[in-house]
Amino acid sequence: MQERHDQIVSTPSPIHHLQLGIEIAGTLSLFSPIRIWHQSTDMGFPATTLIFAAIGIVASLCTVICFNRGSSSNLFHLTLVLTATICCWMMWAIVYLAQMKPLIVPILSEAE
Amino acid sequence: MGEVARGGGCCPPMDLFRSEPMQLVQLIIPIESAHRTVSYLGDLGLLQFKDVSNSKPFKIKRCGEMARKLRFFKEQMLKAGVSPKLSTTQVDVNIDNLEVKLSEIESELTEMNANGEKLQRSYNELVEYKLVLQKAGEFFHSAQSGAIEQQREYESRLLSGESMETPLLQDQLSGDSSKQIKLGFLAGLVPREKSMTFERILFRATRGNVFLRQTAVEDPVTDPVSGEKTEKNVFVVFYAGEKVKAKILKICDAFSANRYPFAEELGKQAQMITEASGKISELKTTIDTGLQHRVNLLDTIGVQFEQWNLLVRKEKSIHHTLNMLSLDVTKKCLVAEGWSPVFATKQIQDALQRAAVDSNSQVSAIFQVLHTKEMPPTYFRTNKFTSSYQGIIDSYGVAKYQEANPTVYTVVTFPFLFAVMFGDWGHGICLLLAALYFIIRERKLSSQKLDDITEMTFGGRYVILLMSLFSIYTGLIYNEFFSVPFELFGPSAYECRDLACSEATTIGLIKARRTYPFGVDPVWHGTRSELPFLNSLKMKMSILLGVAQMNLGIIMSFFNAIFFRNSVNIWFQFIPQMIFLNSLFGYLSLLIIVKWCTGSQADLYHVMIYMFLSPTDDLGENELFAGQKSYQLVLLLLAVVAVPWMLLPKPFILKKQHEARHGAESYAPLPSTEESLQVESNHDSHGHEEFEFSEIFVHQLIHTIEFVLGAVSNTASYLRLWALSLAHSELSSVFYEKVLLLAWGYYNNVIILIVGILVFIFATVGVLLVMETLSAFLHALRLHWVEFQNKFYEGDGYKFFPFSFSLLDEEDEVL
Repeated sequence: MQERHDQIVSTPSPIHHLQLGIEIAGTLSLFSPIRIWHQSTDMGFPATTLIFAAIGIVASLCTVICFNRGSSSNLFHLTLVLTATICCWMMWAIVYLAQMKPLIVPILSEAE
Repeated sequence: MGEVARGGGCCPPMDLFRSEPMQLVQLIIPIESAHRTVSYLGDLGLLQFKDVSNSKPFKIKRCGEMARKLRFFKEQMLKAGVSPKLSTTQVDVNIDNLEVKLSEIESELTEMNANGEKLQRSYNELVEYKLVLQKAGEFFHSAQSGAIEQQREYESRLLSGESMETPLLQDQLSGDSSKQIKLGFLAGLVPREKSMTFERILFRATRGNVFLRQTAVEDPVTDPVSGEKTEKNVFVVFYAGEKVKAKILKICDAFSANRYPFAEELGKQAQMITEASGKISELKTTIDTGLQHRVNLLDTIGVQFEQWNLLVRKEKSIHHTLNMLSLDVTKKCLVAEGWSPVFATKQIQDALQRAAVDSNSQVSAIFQVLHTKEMPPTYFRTNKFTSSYQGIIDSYGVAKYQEANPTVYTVVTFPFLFAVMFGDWGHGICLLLAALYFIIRERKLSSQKLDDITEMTFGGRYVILLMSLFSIYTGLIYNEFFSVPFELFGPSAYECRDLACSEATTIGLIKARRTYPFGVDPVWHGTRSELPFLNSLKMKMSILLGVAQMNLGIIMSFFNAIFFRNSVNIWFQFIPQMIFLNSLFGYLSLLIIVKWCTGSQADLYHVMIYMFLSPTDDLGENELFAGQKSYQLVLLLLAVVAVPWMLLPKPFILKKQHEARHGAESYAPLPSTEESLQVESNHDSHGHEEFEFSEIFVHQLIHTIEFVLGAVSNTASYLRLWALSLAHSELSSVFYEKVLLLAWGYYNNVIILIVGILVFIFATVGVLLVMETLSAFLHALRLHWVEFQNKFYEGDGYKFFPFSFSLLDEEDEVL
C-alpha cells in the first residue's frame, strides 16, 4: 500500500489513475451495479446484453421491412420478435449470472 | 355492463390481440332471389345466421333423396372397384336437371343389378344341372353295366343247369319280370356337410326302403340360391311308391338340396348334357356383357360423382339455412338475421347486389345493422401459422368478445417453455427436421386424408417448428448435444488448483478464467457436484421465468381493464395484485439475482420463511444488502395491506354503481322503434339486471383467495420446468453412457456395435423424441392454460361459425 501511494505521487500513470478511481468509487458507492462492475473484471454481462439488444433491434427492423403488411400487422410481428428476444436474453442472463460467482465448484468423479 | 363497450384508445391496434368487431345485421331478401342470395353468401363465408324462423321448414326431403341416391352410387362403385376421379371440368349443372338425371341413372343401375342377378342364378342352376347329369349318368351307367353283368351271370348259371336247387328263385324271378314294380328316382345336389345327416334321415323316414348313392363334386359349386360357393355332393335316391316320394321331397327341401329332372335313357342324357353346355356358354357371354355395361355406367358416374356430391351438399346446406329465415307474409320476402364482422359490410352488400341482379329481381335486398346487447361471437383472422396456436388456446376456452387474446404471447412463450424443459440441441435438430418435412410437403399432405395422429402432428407443424428452434437455443445454453457438452464458445472457466490436479476429486476445481460466455460450462458434465449446481440453477431459473410470466398475465388484465373502461378493476384489482405478487415473489426473484451477483452465501429459504415468521429479527449472515430488514418489513406490510384492498372495496363500489345506474332508469325515455320488421325483444336480454350483493361479495372473496393462495402454488408449479429438464437430461445421458459408450467399448465386435447403435436410436426416438416431446408439450400447455391465463382470461365466449361452403367441405367428408 505504501509503495503504491509513493508510485502515484512520483510517476502518475494512467493505469494507476484508473485503479485509484475504482477504489474511490468502490468505497463511496453501496449500489450493487457498480460493485459488480468493480468486482468482476470481465465485462461479459453488459457486452453480451448489448449484443442481444442489437440482434433484437436488427430482427425487428428486418421484420418490419420485409413483411410490411399494415401497422397492426407490423405491431404484432414486432411483439413476437420482442418477446422472443426478451425470453432468449433472460435465459442466457440467468445462466450467466449463476456462474459468475459460484458457490459450488466442479468436483471431478473418480473414474476418468 | 351495459352495451358492448367500444375499444379504449390507449394503444394502437394490434392484429390478433382482440377479436374482430362484430355487428348484428338484418337482411330483407325478396323471395325470388333468396336461393341465389344464400348461395352467394355461402361462397363469401362471413355471415353467421341466427335462427329466427317461425314457419314450417322448407323442402329438404328432396336433397335427402338425392343424397341417398349418391350414397347408393358410391356403394356400387366401391363394389365394382371404380374410384371417383377428381374432375377438373366445371360443368354447371342445374339442380333440377341433376335430380332427374340421378333418378334415371338409379333406375338403370337397379335394373341392371336385378337382371344381372337373375342371369347369374340361372347360370348357377345350369352348372349344377350339368353336374347332376354327368355324375348321375355315371351311376346309371355303372349300375346298368353291373346289372347286365349280373343278368348274364345268372343266365349263364341258369343255362349251366342248376335248376333243381333254385326252383323258387326262378319262379320269383319270372314273377318279378311280370309284376314290374316301378322304381322312381330323384337326382340332385346336397351340400357336403349335410350329406351324412341327409342320408340318415332319409333312411329313417322311409324305414330303409330307399337306395341312396352319392358322389362328391371336386370343385366347390356356386349355389344358385345363396350365391356362395359350397362343397356339394351329387345324389340319386331310388324309391318305390308315391307316399315315399312325398316324404323324400319334403326332406330334400328341408336340406336345401336342389333337385333336377333326369332321364333314364342314355341317349337322352347325352343330348341334355350338350344342351346344358350350350346354354351355359350363352349365359356366360350375356353375363359378361352385362357386367361390362355396368362398369361403363359406373365409370361415367365416377367422372362426375364428386361434383354432384358437392352440389347436393351445397343445396342441402342452402335449404338448411333458408329454414332459419323467417317468412314475412305481408311483404313477400324473407328476413334473415346474423352476425358478421364489421369489415365485411362492403363484401356482403356486394354479394346481395350481385344476387339481385343475377336473379332478375325487381327489388334488391336490404341490409341493416341492428343494435343489441347480446354478446357477439368471437372471430380471429388467423393465417396458417397462427391458427394452430389459436386452436390451442380455444381448446381451453374461446375468448370472450374482444378480450385480450393470450395467443399473441403464446406464439413465443409456449415453444420457449417447451424448450426450457426439452433443452438439447441434438434432439432439437431432429425435431426441426421432422417439422421441416411436414412444412415442405404441406400442399400435398393437406389434400390427402390422413389418420388421426398424423393429422394432429401435421396441423401443429408450425408449433413444432418453433419448438425445435427454441430447443436448439436452449440446448446450446444447457450445453447438451445428446447429453454431450461441447466447448463451443471459448475456454471453460475452471481449472485445477495445482499442476498435478491432485485435489480435483476431493475439493474440486477453481474458477480461474472469465465466466463461460454462453451457457453452462462444459466442465460440469459428469462431475460429482453437477446435480447440486444444475438443480440450484434450474430451480431458480424456473422461479424467475414463472414470476415474469405471471406478471405478464396481470399486465394483460390491466390492458383488458383499460379497454373495457373498467377503472374499478384497475384500482382495486390490478394494483393490489401487482403489489402482492411482487412484494413477495418479485422480492424473491430480486434476492436470487443479488445473491448471484454478489456471490453471497445467504440461505434464501431461511430469508423468505423468517420474513414471515419473525420479520423483526436480525438477519445476520443471511443479509444480502444493507437495510434489508427494513425493506422486508415494508414489503410484508404492503402484501398484508393488499389482501383486504383486493377483497373489500370492489363489491361496495359495484353496489353503488348499480344503484346509480338503475336509480335513474325509471325515468329513461322509451327506446326508439326501428323500422325492423320482426325484431323481437330477445335482443334485450339485459333489461333487468339482478344485483345480489352477497353473491358479488362471495365472488370477490373467492377471487381473492384464489389469487393469494395461487400466488404461492402457481410459483411452485413453475418448478416443473426444472423437473422435466432434469428428467430429460438424465434420460439422455443414461442412453448415451450406458448404451452407446458401452457398445463403443467393444469396437472390435461389429455386431455389438450395430446392436448398440440401433438400441440407442430406438430409445432416443421412442423415449426422448416422442414421449418427452409429448410430456413437455403437455406441461408447457398446462402452464399457459392455468398459471398464465387465470390472471386475466375469462374465455366464456363462443366461436364465430359462418355459413360457408368451404367449411362444409371440411365438415363431412362422407355424405
